[in-house]
Amino acid sequence: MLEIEKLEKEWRRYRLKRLKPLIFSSIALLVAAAAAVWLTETGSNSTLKNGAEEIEATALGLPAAATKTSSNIEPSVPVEKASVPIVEKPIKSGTKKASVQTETKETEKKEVRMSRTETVESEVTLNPDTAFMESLLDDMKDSSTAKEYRAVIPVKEEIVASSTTERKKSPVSKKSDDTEIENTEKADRSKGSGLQIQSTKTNNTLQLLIERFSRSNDPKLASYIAQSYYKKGNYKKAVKWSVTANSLDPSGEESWITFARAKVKLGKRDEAIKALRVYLNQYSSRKVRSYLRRLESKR
Amino acid sequence: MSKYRQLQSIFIDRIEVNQYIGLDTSILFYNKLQESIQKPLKMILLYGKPGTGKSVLINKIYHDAKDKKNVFLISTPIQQEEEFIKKLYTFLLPESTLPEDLTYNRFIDICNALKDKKHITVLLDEAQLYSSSLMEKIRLISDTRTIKFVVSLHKTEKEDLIAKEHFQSRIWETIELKNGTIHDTNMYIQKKLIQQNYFEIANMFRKSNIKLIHKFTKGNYREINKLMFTLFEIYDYYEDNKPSKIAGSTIKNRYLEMSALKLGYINA
Ligand SMILES: Nc1ncnc2c1ncn2[C@@H]1O[C@H](COP(=O)(O)OP(=O)(O)O)[C@@H](O)[C@H]1O
Ligand SMILES: [Mg+2]
Repeated sequence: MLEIEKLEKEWRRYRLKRLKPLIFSSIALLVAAAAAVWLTETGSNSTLKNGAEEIEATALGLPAAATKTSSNIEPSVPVEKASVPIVEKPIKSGTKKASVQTETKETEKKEVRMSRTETVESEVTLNPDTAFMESLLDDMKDSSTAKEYRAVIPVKEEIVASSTTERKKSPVSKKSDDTEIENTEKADRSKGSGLQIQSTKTNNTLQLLIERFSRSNDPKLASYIAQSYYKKGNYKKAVKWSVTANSLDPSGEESWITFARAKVKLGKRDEAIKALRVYLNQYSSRKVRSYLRRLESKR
Repeated sequence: MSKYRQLQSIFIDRIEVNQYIGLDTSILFYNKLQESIQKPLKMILLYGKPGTGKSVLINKIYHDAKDKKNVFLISTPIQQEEEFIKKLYTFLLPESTLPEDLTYNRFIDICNALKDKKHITVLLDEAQLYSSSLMEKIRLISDTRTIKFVVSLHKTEKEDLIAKEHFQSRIWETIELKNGTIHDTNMYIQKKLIQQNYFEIANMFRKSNIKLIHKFTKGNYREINKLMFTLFEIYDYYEDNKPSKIAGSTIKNRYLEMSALKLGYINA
């Protein structure tokens, strides 16, 4: 028997366990970064006060007090590197001194800020937990609108019309006879063979699927083929097959999304947006809507 | 049966030739094994950790053998020496001619007498279960060149020894099956689902899912089966009880992690 509650609890514990060190380390990093900022600021102030001799000392290659302290505390923050080359500039008059010092302060701050964002970034790559957050978000969103589109009655004529216009635009002509699939397949293979030696076997599976599709005319299969082409980077084929899937089942959101994504990759964002709007006129789909919103915002 | 129940059943461990999946590595070894069988070798050793697909491969080879009359498979070891010898005899000659008191020595004589007249290949699965004395006899039988053996065994330290002691002197060919790569894992899952027409489910597996599956199972096919079975067990439960939890178009890594917890790949 599956004791799901127990498993869910265990999973939460597991998650927490995995998150803990990350939380601690990010707090530690933040504290360290803050400390570094504070120290370098007080440090450079002191160099200001100490005056010209101190600066000349650094110019000669002797470390100034400020750089010493900061490097001792947080070696990973490359603060002193910035200050050294600037201080090395020959300093002659008193006014110049002051300006140089402020300069160093600014660059120091920038450096610190930069290194901060850097650590945040590296955390993200190390950390697989964003997926978990996404899944949580998905959970919330899905539960509210998952089955919405089923309630909407498809308006067939309009959809057929719209998908045929798309077909005209796309280089692939209207098709459903097997021979044409085969022809375009062959053309495609000859083009791609030089590029993708590694995935010949995968191609064979696709080939099998395409053959199978010619027998079954299963829209889900067509959609799968479209997505496979998309994953391989063959966006024209992805468009073609999503149109095929769409003509068999206009309500399937996946085929529309694949169509749009492939169009975007082909540099035809406008067509993608148009298509998704057409879809949303007939059906409601959270996924399509959010993707459309993303596309529109990027313009 | 519910959808997820059916999906569970896809990933039950079983050796069915019609469900053989040509993965990059398995195709490679299939070809290699086929070639080896053609060569005038006495023995071929197929080894690898449990769950790397040895039985599947050996069954496929047996199934595909064009020359059915000359290729035989013993999938469950016959540990009794007399019985084993009898079995081999029936591969060579009609059962009706089987002598009452067929001993090992007598069988060797028969093999020698058949030399240049008959050549057969016998596939022995789970050969780690044969005693070392019987293994030694198998080796001597192969020396007559009437019977060629393809020996499939699990690789453990102990069996490494068997391999060395008995075979190294007169080997032959060794083929080691290994766990799958991330690519193999992906192909395995995709093909298994597509084979049963679960296109939408196949589409739900994203790169991050596959990576996680590979991390948990190390690409061992038996472990992949177990993980997938448990995953769909969880999905089946949610479908019946909290369907909103599994809505969406991708597999959630969370449920893979839950499966891994259940199977003890990780712990909380
Ligand atoms: N090439 C393959 N095609 C289909 N299934 C496979 C393949 N390789 C491994 N499997 C799956 O993995 C399981 C374990 O493989 P098996 O051959 O029994 O491993 P071994 O004999 O090495 O212990 C099988 O039950 C099968 O479901
Ligand atoms: Mg086995």
